[in-house]
Amino acid sequence: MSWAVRRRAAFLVGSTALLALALGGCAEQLGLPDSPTEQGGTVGDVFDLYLVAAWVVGAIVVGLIALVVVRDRASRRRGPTSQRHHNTPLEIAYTLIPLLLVGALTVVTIVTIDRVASDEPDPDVVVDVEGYQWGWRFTYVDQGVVVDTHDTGDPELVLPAPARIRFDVHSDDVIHSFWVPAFRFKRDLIPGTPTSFTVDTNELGVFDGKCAEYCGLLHTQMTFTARTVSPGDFDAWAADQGSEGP
Amino acid sequence: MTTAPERPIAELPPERPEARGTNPGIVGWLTTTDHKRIGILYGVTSLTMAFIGFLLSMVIRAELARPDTQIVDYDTYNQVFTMHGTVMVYLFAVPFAFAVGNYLVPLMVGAPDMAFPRLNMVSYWLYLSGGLVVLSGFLANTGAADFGWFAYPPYAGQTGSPGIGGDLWLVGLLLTGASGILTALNIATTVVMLRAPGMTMFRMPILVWDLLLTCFMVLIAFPVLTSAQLMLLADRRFGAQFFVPSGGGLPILWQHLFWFFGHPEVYIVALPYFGIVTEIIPVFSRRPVFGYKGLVLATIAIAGLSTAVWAHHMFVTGDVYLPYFAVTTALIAVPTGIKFFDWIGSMWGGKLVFPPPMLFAVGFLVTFLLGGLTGVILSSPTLDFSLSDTYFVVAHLHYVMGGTVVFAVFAAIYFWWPKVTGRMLDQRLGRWHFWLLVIGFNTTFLVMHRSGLEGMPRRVGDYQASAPYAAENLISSIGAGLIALSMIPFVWALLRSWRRPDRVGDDPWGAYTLEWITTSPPPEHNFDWMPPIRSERPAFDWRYREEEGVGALGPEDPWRRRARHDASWRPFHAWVESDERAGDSGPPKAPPDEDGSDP
Repeated sequence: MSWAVRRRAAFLVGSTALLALALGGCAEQLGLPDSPTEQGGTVGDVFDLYLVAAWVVGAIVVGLIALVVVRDRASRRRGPTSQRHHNTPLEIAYTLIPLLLVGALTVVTIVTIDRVASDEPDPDVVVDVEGYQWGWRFTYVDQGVVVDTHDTGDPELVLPAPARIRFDVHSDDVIHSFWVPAFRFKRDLIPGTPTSFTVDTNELGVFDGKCAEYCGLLHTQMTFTARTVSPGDFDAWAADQGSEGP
Repeated sequence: MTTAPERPIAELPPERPEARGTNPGIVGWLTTTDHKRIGILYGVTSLTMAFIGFLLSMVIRAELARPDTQIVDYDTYNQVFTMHGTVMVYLFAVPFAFAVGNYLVPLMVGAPDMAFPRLNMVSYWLYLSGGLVVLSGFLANTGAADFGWFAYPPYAGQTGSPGIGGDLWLVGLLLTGASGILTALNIATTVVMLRAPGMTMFRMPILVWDLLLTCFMVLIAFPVLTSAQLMLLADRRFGAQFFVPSGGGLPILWQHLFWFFGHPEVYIVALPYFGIVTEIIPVFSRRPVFGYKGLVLATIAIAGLSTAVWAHHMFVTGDVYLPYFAVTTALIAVPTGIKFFDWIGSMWGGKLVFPPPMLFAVGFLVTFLLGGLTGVILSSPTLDFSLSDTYFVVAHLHYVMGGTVVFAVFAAIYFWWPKVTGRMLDQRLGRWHFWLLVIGFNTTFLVMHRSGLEGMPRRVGDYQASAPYAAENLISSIGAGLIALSMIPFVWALLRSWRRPDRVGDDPWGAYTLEWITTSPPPEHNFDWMPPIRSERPAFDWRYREEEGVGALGPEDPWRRRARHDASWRPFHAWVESDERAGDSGPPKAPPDEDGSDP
């Protein structure tokens, strides 16, 4: 091998290794943070499925590209080049196989949509969430408790677990988005378009919450904390808030 | 079409006429109607915009490199990310595609110029002035627009963001939108009406197909954006209430209108660049493009589907019918997959060489693959509830709209530079450029997937030191530095080509399409003679016209077979015997060099 060929080969091997390393380095850590909700668990399962499918398809396609780039280099081939410009059965095959694959994945998605984005009529707790520039007002409808960024600074959203909790979200100024990354769910708060969603908590913990839709100057600081507590602790907390609240 | 009058395409005019009425210097450039000059104007302007957008992204990466630092304040940061997205999407990615379209479409279909040369220059003026108006927001006392590149009201309305920068943003983009509509009309008309005899629809280069369909998408999508922007401007300045909830307006209406533009826009930005790599890969594989008709049908499918997927940007609003948009969005993966396999098929069994254009084209494939795979993940509403508006989306969109565009842009520059200037760009520097860019790009954006999964939202100017994604952000910022570094060999190669030109012939690559038949740079009206056009590779056919079974020329079997095959695809592929024979006499000067590479 000439020096130039060897150098090119080294480049190729090096780049492939680097890419594999980069992808691999990502792989062992890829995945969503632990979720304290049932909906989050479903999202995690679907995510794993999609991720595996993406890895398999990605590996096949990268493999084909790597194979052809290494095998069919001009320096390694003699004689005339095939001028074949179509292969109808093959083309139909690589239309139908991806169609079946995305079809299967989409079926999985469609049957899980309602499970993660449901709107329960009869929850244990209803929290009315209002976003404003730049803070949150959480109103516990049945308990009569209000937690507001204006009063407390970074507000704490206390939730019982296990429990079924419905969030009624709305905004009056600009669009915000209510997001607890650990719930694996977010919902935009759009003026004029109030919506609801339900979460089934099943674990105790403390989780970051933030605004996910850009809403102006202090969007970055529009954070809150979600804390799940046992139902008994929740009732005690609500009573405590009610007694000292306005 | 085939009814075009016969032109004396085979005869060299006695003397090439002087360029008529072309003023020298800057006046000449700003008053020209020559599609090649306008193409160069578009190219230079859009690359300047890319440079500005890139500088803005450097501010973002500097700000986010470490937690709790304030290199710029929140207000400036919001303007910076807004203008970064605006400049890159509206003022770089689309106009560069128009640069390619302007320069290459007439050459590739064998036309002397665009269908409407003066309108073409008007488009450029509108683009330039619109771009300057958008950027002039930085000179306003309240700063540039700060509502993100998709400008959601009510924040983008009068109460949320009252500064003049927002109005300049709207007015500027109204101008560039009008420019895009005019250019799309122009390119589409050129492709439909001005093809040379023999250049049937199904013999057009794939790039021309991709640009044609892009133009149709522009004609569908841009008027919607322009109307919506007028409505928003009326809200801001004239007291209209289209998007003001207290006045009975609906903020979510903007999202529907915007994304009805916005999703075709993603493919408007993608298809021309798909076309560029589809032209480059076969040339350096010494193969014809594989699955030509499949590629065209896939492109049509993408263009059609792209108008039916807009609300997948709105899954988290809770106000769209999720299953429909989940299905249409996932379906786009199928024609995109066809393209992938056709690109691989074009390399399969070829003799691959790797000068810089081919390196960038293969880099495009891998980059786009990653973006495509995360696109399938994001197409699922179940997952999008978690991933929307996070850095996972930022990573995804920079792979599909950033990386692919950038790799294809550089592939195009290295590939067509000899055609535009008659000079080669240094190949060694090109390789350095490529590898630095590959490393820098992936260092920057690969880790962003993880930042997003760990809960980093988009469009934040800061994060806490305790955030799980602090390290990822530092890595990203280092990668951005590497991308900046990768531009050094590129600029060096440009300077070298200017100061110490490496002059090459008309067709240094042994390429396939018509533009390589003419001189480098091409004469004023492009062609002094034209070879017969019997396939999508007229230059290749001409070069190997003596080789049995390789070039499609001659009355022999290969051509007959091909003609029958083509005729079965009417009307896309209508051809007429007399047109086929029209160019047979060949050039009256010496035939092109035969000492290129072997078939």
